[in-house]
Amino acid sequence: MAFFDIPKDEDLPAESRKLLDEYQRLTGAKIRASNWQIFGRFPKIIEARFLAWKNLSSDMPFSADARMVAVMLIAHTKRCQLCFAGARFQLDKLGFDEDAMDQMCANPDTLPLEERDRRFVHYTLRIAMDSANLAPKDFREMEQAGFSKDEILEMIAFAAYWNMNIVFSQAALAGLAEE
Amino acid sequence: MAFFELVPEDQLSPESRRHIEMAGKRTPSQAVGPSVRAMAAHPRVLKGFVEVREELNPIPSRFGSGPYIAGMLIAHSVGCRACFNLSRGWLVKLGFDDATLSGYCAAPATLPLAERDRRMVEFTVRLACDRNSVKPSDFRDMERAGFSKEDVLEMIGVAAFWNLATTFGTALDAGLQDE
Repeated sequence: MAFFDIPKDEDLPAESRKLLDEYQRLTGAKIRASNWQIFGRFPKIIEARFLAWKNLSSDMPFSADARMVAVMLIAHTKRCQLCFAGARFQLDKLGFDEDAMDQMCANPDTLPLEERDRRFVHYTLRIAMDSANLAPKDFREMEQAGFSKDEILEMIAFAAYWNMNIVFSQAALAGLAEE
Repeated sequence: MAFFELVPEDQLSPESRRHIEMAGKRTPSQAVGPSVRAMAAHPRVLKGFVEVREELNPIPSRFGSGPYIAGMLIAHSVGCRACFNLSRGWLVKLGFDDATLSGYCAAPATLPLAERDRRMVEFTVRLACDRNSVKPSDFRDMERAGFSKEDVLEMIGVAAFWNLATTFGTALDAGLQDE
């Protein structure tokens, strides 16, 4: 028996249900994500995740392709199955085939993306995986590559959001696994 | 000259000022650190960070000083000076001495804490830094040790928050260093 269960809608507090509905509407998802629903009995986690998603990850001035490739690669490196599968599902909808996605995971340095998107993915992955080793010159390099300071702050926010989100997803998956 | 700049007080929007004040109340000195001042250049990012912290890392916490001990150890492990100093500052204010805290950082696997506090801190640090080692049975062990499901969800939230905060902290700290 699993430690966590996925609560039914009628068992959730109204504030959780409202935010989960809003998240589903804004992301255009057909069903609720299990790694969100599992936290539904605890409204402050749902509220925190929703606030984080809205302010740190959505409405970014980067293409959907670039954002989803970045999520897939962060999830691949951190071995988050749920985020990895979710990103690949979105990339499939954007027109990437399985082979292309596998190639990107195998060779993240040679992504078949536009130059700006490729650089976004490269820097975001670097921030998510190795921010402790960033140096001032790295930010000048990003600026010289055409990113504004606001955009660089948004890249940091995006990487931070996914580092946070992956904790929720991996913990949810472990707690939902049968013992 | 640093890449990121600290936003002067008189250039803050009313909403950012409110978020800076909220953040200030969460620091031992009641004044925000440079990374939060740099974040204020992007009001939406500042809002996301500050409001998520209120939800996931509340003061007071049901775990007492546990989230800050966990935060200090997570920050120490990933090399985030800003989060390390913040957590440590709180712990000193709560009555921990520097030698004790240095001892925790030097030997995080053998924390001389009360059993419940030790388990909370160790599990939270694992969720933040070593999630792939967390097994379904670990959740049951926590339950047998007296933690409710809600307690465990809160620990996941604390771990997730520190992953968000240390990503911001390390990246912004690098961008605030003089070149």
